Amino acid sequence: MPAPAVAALLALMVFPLVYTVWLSLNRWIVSAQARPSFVGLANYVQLAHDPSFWHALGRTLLFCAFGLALQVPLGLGLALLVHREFRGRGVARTLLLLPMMATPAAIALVWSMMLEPSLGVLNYALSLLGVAKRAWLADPALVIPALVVVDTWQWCPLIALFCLAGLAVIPAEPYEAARIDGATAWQQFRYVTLPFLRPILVVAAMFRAIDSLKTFDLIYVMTQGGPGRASETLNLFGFHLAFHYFNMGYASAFLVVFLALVLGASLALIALRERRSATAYVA
Amino acid sequence: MGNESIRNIGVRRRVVLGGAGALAVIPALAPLARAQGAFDWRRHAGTTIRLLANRIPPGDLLLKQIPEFEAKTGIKVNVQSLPEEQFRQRIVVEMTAGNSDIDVFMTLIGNEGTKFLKAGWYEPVKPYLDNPTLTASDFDAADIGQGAWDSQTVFGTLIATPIEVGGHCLMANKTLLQQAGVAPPRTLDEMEAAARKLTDRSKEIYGVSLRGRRGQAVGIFSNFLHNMGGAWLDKNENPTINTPEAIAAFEMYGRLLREYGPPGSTNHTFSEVNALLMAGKAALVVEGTVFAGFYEDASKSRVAGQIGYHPMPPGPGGDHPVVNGWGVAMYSGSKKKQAAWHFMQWSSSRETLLGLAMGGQGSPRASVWNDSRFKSASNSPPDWRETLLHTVKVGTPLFAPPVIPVLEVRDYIGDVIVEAIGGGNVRAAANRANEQFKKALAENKG
Repeated sequence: MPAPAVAALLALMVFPLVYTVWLSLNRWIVSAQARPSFVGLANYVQLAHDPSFWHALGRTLLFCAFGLALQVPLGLGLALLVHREFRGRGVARTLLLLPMMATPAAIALVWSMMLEPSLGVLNYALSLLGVAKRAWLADPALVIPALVVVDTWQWCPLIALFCLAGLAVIPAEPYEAARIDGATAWQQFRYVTLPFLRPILVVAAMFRAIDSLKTFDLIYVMTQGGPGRASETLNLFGFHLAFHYFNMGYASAFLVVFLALVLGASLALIALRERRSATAYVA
Repeated sequence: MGNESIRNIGVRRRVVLGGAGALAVIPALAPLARAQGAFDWRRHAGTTIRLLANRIPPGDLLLKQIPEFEAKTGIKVNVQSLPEEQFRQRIVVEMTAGNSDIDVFMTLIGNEGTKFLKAGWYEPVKPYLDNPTLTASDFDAADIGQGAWDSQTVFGTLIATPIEVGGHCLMANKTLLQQAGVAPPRTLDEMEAAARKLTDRSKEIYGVSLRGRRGQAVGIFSNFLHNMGGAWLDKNENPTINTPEAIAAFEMYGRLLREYGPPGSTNHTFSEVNALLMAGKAALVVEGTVFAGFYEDASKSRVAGQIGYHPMPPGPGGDHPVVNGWGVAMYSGSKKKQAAWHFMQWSSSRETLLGLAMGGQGSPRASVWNDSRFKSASNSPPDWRETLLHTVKVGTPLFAPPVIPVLEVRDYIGDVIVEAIGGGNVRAAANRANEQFKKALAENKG
């Protein structure tokens, strides 16, 4: 009987989505104690002209791009490192996964203390090396990089995990053939490992991209979008609209646009992957 | 009064003493009589009520005593204690949805009073307080100062019982002041001069530390706004955060933190400010009197016994420090209002408030201030008491604009504060924020 499953799906997924779209066509500011009133596409027009929205979009893309640029190479490197046979490899692999298991909010609190300019351990450690102290989370220019570092600390192991799975299934023959042909280690990596790993790297990057587009807990706990609005990403922007300003209609319009953005990014990455794998088969 | 004392004795007593004429009516009235009978702490034994509390010292000190309430009344209290922002959001979300099972919640009217009252979420408290069958005879409402009752009154409606009175004041690290040869500042100008002398960046000693994180900085900033002669709104409720006085206040706040403050002030809330003071790195701090208990706790603070408490320095606009007080309110949608009222009156009872006062909270009750146990408590130094009494006498509860979209407007004001700390164009930022403020008010007219 598929009926209960369909009903559950409708209630839990379709209804909220349709309701959000409906709300997005209404003006509804909860704190004004007024009922929703239909305004058509006015909220979307307002969003297109809202500098805060464009600012938040820019911050989100920066956070996402910066994160991927750091996490994909680092994750791959980590995977290559622990893929080799050495004593304590099992322990190393387990340790690698620990950051992923911790609660983001708890991690954010600990990192906030470490990054605190006057009392934190990071500035203290840097001062021993003669590096000037910095207000990591309170400097508009540094706050996104600092958040990316924390995000990387936690999620780079996920990319490594994907890569390890990929490495495990690469057959030995291509390497033997390459060695017989006199390929250097770099050439083996460039022409054997990387092509085999590419599909899985794209999937891993896709997961991370979607995740980082909608990162909320980490940023909320560490900066709440500050200093000023310097780390106000789309998700925080939407949160402020809904739960600080209680502007539910406008927040819903934003959510619909945000959903379209995340969906669009995912579809683009999937398309990219299919084209890549298609060319791989042709080759 | 005679009439009231009869009601105090209660209906059942009257039934016994009332003679034959009364006896004839008894059977019909009996159930009502029991419900309305003499006040009894155990009347609602077995009931469970839900409390939403804010995780700050007065809240924590209240929670610590709840087992005594449960033992006394047999009422079980389901407690949920959340950090301030989440605490407030939780209430708004649940009550907006309209199906909340919250019975009692902590409240601070300077923040949410206007909005919650207009939304109809507060149960008016006066009818409960004035009803001797619902209120313990030893509650002694007159023992609670008028200022404390006022601090729980929104547009004429009493909406909570006070558990604390506090305010903002200046805390000074006496050791650092002595080393720099600086006297505690008595005006805003003196404060800036003192901050200059106290700052020694090579030793990481900062003259001043204040909240700088956007919306959360607004409460502390309001002391500067009012003392510089500014105001949130004019008589016609139009925003006035871009007047010359307001701009001067923003600029002073920004200058203090930019030039004499610790790095990273724009990310600082009270936690960081307190941590800097307690680590001996900040010399002057404007914060809530509620935190004295933290500072004087030698197991956590390096500066226990070294803090001088002074009134917030007055300025060209006069002496208007922030005064506020947490109260316990009842949700108008509660289904257990009488049990909820039991909790509220217990929260503001002499024994409970003595417990809060011993933990460093300013007490709404005169009898607690005079209690010998409180007087000898080491964590409430004499200058703290004098400062608090002064603050309560002259202060204003307007630590945020008294408007419905208060959280939104706080963010706009916070933008100006962040701009000021960064040394940006304060006038332009204030003009922009004033417009956003106006727009938010218009949108919330419904």
